[in-house]
Amino acid sequence: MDQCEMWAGWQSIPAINRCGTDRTAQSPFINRRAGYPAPPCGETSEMNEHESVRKLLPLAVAGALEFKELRRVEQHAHACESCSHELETWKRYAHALRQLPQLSVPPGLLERTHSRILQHGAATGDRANSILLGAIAIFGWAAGLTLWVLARGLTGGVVNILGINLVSPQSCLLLSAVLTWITATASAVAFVRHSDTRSTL
Amino acid sequence: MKPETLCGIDDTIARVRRGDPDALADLLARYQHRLYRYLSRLVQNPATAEDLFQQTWLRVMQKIGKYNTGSRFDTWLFSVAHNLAIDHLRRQRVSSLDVSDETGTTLSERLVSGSPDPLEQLLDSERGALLGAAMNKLPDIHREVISLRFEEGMKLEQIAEVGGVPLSTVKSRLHRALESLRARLEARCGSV
Repeated sequence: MDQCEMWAGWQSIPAINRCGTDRTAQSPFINRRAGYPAPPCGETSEMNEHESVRKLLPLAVAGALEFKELRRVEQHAHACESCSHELETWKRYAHALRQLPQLSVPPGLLERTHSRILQHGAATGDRANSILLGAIAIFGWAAGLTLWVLARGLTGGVVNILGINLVSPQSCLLLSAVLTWITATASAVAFVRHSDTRSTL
Repeated sequence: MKPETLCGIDDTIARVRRGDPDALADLLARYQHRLYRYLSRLVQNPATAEDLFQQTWLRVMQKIGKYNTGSRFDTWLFSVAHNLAIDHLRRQRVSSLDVSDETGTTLSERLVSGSPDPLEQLLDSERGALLGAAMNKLPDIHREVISLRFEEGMKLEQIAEVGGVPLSTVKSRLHRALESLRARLEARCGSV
């Protein structure tokens, strides 16, 4: 099967020999894909190469082709005036894109960003510290309660020192209150010191 | 060796991880122009670009511990920015086929030309404004790939990493973006 028959077969028309005939007389048989009339014999592969290279031109100027593809484009453009002109056009586009006017950064953006990052970091730190303090307080309470229960169990509920039963419910309550005051005072001092540091920054 | 290593970026990042505020300021200054330009090009709104700029750096600071020093920092930075910008655009429900330029003359007025000759400056400015306006009409993903390739000078592999897409997708988008850009310009101005 020669190229004419292959071309005609692709077009879904009866196979006829078009070799050497005037292309303009072939108007009913248009290549719907490329908009070209059916070519004379021998030019199909060249046209395919031509179309194929033209599709590569944008990527060529964008530096997106492999070396072999780029070489193929250059060789074809060297021999084809149309593609050479097209390549130059694409090069101008690429050059213009690389030379786009630069957008200026708004004044103070760096400072605002830096400040926002520091504030966010401080807020995150505050949350972490609050959670940590809360966890320590709860642990303290739980540990104290557990030790009290163990002490009562081991001592039979009576540990007298200076006439005071240290494991009685009243003693436990008093001790808890003292520990609570100590914890709250320490937390308040830490919070005030941290606030002073942040206001200094 | 990564080019960034020669400029001490790894050392700067190590200092940022240790909480050095000067290192943070250094990092911000180093990438402010590129990052802001990229976000502006993508979202086409100065206020949004600024907000996303700040959000990007917040996210970077949150995840700085997870950054792999074996890869390029700018690629990682731009991928964070890309994700935030795309999330924003999706929330805005911007049509990818018909993007309007929200900044209009404001964007053009903020452009700076580098040509010394006054006439060349004027021509460059007009040409740049036309090209920039045409770019603003492109779909987001096309605008992004052109910006990363031609403005940021990123390699295709980096662009693929920023966008989280295969290399073939980047090439396809780049091809369609350039064709579309040229078609819009020629429709407006005639053939170049």
